[in-house]
Amino acid sequence: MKQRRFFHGVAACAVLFVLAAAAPAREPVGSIEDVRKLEKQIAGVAEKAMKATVALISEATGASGSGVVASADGLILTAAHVIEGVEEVEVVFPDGKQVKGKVLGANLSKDIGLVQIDDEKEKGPWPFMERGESKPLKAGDWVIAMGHSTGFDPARTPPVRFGRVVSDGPGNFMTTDCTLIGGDSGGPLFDLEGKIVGINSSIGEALKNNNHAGVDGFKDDWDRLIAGEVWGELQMNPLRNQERPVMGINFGPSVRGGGVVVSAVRGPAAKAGIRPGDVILTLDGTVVRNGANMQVLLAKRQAGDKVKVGGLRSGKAFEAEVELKQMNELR
Amino acid sequence: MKTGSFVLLLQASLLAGAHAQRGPEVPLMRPEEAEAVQRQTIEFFDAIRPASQRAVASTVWIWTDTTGRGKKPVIYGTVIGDGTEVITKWSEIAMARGPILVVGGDGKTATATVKGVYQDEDLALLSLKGARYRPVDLAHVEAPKLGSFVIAASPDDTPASVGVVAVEARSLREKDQAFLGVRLDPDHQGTGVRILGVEEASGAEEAGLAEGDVILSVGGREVNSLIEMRTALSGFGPGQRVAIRYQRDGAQAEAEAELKEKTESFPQFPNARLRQMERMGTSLSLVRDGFPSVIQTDMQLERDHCGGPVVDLDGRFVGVSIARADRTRSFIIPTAAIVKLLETEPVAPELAVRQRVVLPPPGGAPPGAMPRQRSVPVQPGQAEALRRHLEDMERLMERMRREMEGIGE
Repeated sequence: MKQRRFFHGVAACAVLFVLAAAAPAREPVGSIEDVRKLEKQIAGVAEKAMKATVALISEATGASGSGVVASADGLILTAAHVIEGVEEVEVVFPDGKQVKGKVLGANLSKDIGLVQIDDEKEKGPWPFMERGESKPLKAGDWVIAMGHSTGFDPARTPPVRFGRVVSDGPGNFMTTDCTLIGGDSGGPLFDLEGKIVGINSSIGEALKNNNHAGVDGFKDDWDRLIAGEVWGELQMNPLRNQERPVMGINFGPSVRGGGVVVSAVRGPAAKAGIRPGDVILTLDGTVVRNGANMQVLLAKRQAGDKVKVGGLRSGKAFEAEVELKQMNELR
Repeated sequence: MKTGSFVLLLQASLLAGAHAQRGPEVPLMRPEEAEAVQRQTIEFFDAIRPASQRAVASTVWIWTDTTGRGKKPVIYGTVIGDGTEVITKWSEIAMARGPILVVGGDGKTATATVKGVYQDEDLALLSLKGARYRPVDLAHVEAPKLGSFVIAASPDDTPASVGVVAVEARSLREKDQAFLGVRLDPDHQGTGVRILGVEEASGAEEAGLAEGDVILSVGGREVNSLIEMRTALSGFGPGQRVAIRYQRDGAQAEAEAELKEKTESFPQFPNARLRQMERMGTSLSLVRDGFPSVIQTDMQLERDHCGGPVVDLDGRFVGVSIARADRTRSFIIPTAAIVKLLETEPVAPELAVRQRVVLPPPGGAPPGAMPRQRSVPVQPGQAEALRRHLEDMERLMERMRREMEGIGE
């Protein structure tokens, strides 16, 4: 028993070490000195990010959103719903400088899109912010959101908002308590190093419910976005998102006391050896109450993630590892 | 010490519960995430508590009866001067019937009378009898910089809110906007901005600008779009003179125009969806716009927690929180502005009630833009009834606008 505990301890240390190394943003704040350090980082990011946080205004629709310049030659990351249905946008920098932008591609399911500054008179280099990674972000990571709230206002710089990730997922999305409002859509979310980690997407009623698309979505879809392809579907319900991660299981009745019966399998679940009639009890160690509960648990993951499924087959325990796929990639 | 923050969290969750009828605060939030975030909030408040410690003694509750349903704490106040004066948010106590009481965190109680009102700032100056509190130190007038932490103190140990400076100090008052007096052609192509018309008696008319002229630069800054024009002008205030280079009949010319105050208001109603978003998850201050100098922060201040002192991480007084403006914004009047204000004579409260009935301006139009002749002297009871009716009306209007928008789509 003692031996086991020891190994658990080592494992926990290893996990903590990995987390600390991957995400310096999750440093605990235990004293006023820690808060001072945090303040310095926020102020630094805000000042630098200001110049690259642009308003995107469509003269055709009158819609106004935000974006962030992510390269010296003027590639702008934004939200798909900001540029949906337009080919050209006015790009306005916080100092009022205005240039033309050409809309490239957009993935509506991830709510991400690209705009290229393309102006006859003004050529770069443009002030820009670097892209970071969104996948390692977890609840408690400090973040800074910016955007031209309620539209471009020459009397004001784009407001800075500080907060933390309160929930990662569903899918490529995450939720923070940096409060957003109309006009912020498409604006950047930064980590404390000033790397772009997300794009402002939508809000719910609660002040803690501000949703951002993870910046990793751009990496996954880069070639299609650059090529100007527009695809996917805007969907507020994560359980209906075309790109939600799935195993390829049709659920039968739930089992009393937890678990759900598999009625049909295809795709990744079939590949992993799960069979109709199996009873699924756990997903990565979490007890599965029923089919709906399983869907919610899966919605928080991303396609490509591997999950451990535990269950019963003909009364005997079994385990399988399933690599999740996007719903729309299931055949 | 810790209990304070638990109470705060409990309040926050109760409030959130009242708003979110359609399920949990954040759908799909895992229990371990909720726990981590909650633990972090407590840690964070524990860490910043020492900074707000001094300001706690300078923060008071203002108790009065504004509804006819008995006395309750309606707003916070900030102790100034020799400790027998308090500044607080005027619109929250303007309808007070009967006495106003001031209660400190230590329970010391004083009676207060309204000595005067600063209308543009929505601040009331109270004079106290019966107790003396520790005043804030007005010596540090340097405003906090972008991204700095600001902490709103409360009369008890736990700060009312904490946030960062979202936008540095600026004026929200309409008459502080420079007005040139030109209507511009939105369809103009090419260099500059083309004038469609010139307002009578405006700086543009006096400078000899006319329809058809193409403005090339303002104050030495090239302008090639309506937004660039607006931005170029936003760098100037009323009364300033600005050089304008323009093109007329193929030749370039230069003129100097005096910028004027914007007198007439053309309130722009934000669309219904935005109005809905402004209110999401929060209760807004009645007067929340038109201030002559405010720092914008992302603090999530409750409406009845405004009026108190705000400090930086060193505990220095940086201003008074004046309004919860919407989902994303709370405003602070900076120390420098307060020092300057206190050197001027406030308006007598009787005059202030007559001049500005405290109503939520529909559409959030700045209070300064409300026509003064519409204000009427009213009995306190009537005013409260009127206010409730207007709030109902506003809600109804909002619903109608939403439905109209639905039809439009």
